[in-house]
Amino acid sequence: MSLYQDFLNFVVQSQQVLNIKISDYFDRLEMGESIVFVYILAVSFIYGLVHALGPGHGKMVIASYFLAKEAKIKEAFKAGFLTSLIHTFSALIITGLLYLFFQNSVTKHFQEINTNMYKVSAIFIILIALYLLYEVINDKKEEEKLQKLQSKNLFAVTLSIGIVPCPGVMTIVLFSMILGYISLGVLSAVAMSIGMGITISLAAIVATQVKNSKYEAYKTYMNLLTYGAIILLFTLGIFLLV
Amino acid sequence: MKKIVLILLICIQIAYSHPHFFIDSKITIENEKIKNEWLFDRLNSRVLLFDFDKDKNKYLDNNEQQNFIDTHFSGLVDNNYNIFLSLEDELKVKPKNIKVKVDKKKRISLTFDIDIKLNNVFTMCTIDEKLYMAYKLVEINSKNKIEVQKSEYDYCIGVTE
Repeated sequence: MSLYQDFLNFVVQSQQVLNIKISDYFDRLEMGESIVFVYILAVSFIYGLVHALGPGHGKMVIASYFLAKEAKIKEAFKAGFLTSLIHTFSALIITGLLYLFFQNSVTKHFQEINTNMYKVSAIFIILIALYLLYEVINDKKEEEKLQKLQSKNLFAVTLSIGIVPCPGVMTIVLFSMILGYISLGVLSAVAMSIGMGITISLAAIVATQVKNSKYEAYKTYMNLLTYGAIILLFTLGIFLLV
Repeated sequence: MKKIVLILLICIQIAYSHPHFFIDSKITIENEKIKNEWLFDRLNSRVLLFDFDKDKNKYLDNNEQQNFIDTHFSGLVDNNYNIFLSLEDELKVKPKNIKVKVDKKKRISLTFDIDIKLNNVFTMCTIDEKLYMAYKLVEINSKNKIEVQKSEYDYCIGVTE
């Protein structure tokens, strides 16, 4: 328990330091130090890395998926980055639209959209868990059919998590827009997205390594792991829904 | 039981977000009230100011303050305003004298009082179980003997006499 709290402390403290750094760099940018934009992008990238280390961002969901379903590292990597991209771009698009059409109530509307998207995401996650269960119970002889479904599944998983717009991206993008640095805001979001993508991918890759065909000898444990991961996925969906 | 609650809390934190608001918290304990100040980080303050300072005079008038409170504070009632307060039993927090100001460094500060007769041992914790807001205790003033436990995202204050 204490180890988890130490880790959380580290993640929160690091983000707070980076949060202050971004404000300071923008101050320097406003004073005419244009070179600082490189630092802002670098800090945004690190912020993304650390930001996704904390709770949320669907690491548990994506890891559960890959614990339930055997996959290649390449697929895990793709899933991590796709999740991060959707997570970032949904925030980017929503922030942009709110900035254009709902000035003076951006945070309020963003919060409402975020809360509703969590519910949509939760329903998706529960459906994925149920589908995985159906797949596991069903006859697995239809290999070809499953292969086709796999890429669709992967997209469904990444979409279900990524659909929740990242409030961290919203804050940085909106902050940049307010100060008149729209393109820098978009680039910061991209840098943050790459950082988050690395962290989320790592969680997915670790899961694929645990659920690996080389452990075929421990088939009973692997089957237990599959069911455990599906239960975890289902539970996470329920937690987000209620 | 304590372990189950902790596991549930961790599950909620895992499922939900990570901090987005970094709040420096100041507490003053007086005889009949607890004064709270939540100082928002500069990044979020700037964004919030853009949203709520409608006349762009870098000052929040009564209407603007109320709008801010309705949007970002009143909704916390379901979670007892992220405060756990216990004398003998857990108490419902009823914040009074709520004000929102902008300081010289353009940081938004939200202050409120909790009226309470504090002639006894009590515990007060500030935590957002969803970890959307990280509360860092930066200052505490009290004439009572106190014990403090704090992290980067929550804190508990125990008054022992």
